[in-house]
Amino acid sequence: MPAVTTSADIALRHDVFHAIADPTRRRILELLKESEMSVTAIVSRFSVTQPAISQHLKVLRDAGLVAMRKVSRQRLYSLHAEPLADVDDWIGYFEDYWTEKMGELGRYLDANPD
Amino acid sequence: MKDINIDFTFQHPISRVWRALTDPDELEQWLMKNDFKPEVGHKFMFRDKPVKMLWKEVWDGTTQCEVLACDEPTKLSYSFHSPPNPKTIVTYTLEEVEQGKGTKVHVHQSGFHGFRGWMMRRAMNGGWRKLATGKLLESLERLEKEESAAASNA
Repeated sequence: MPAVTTSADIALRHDVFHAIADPTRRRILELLKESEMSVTAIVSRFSVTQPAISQHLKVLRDAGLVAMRKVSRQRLYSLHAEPLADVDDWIGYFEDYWTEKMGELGRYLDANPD
Repeated sequence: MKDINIDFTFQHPISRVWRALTDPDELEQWLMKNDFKPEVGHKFMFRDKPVKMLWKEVWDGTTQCEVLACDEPTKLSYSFHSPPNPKTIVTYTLEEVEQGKGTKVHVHQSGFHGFRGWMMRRAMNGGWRKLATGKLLESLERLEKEESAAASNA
């Protein structure tokens, strides 16, 4: 976890959260966990159109969760899972939550000792 | 997914800290509104402000709980479930320190699994409220446009 979180980091990490919040995109990530796939191969596994899948892939690419390489005329997509770990480190919300709440409990007790 | 473990020491006797953890009126003062009772098996609810992102409510503010352990004054445990996210378990372990003048509280939370666990952690306690400024707002607006573009393409 970096010592300084810039707003660009926040935006990027939000993109990661947004990306995994959608069930179709989670399924795409699951598929890519198995192997690198072309758009056509990915589309064949869903009942939605290619433009919709391409849009999902764009969101995943923007979040840094999938990589794309061109082989002749094919675009091959693969999973790039590192940002997920990054988000997990960064979003220790409950750690912050309980730390904050224990602070509040301490202040409450100090103000109401009996 | 890792568990959460936090230790905190209070300069108050264990009986006082136990009361703050188990009296519903006291609990409301530092945690949330609730209908807690210190009885194993009691089902209760915490209520907080709903959390909204730009285009949808991500958490309605309610957390459903059930008391799993209540051993005065050393151990309190309850399930902690904010639907549609997975159920976690929160356990407080209390220990006398400094010849009874102080109390160490260990907070343990377990049960984070998968994507929804991450989402829950993100959505909790105004995490979104704190973050919903500046670049993030721009990012949300951009993503919302992308979503509607994707929807019209589909």
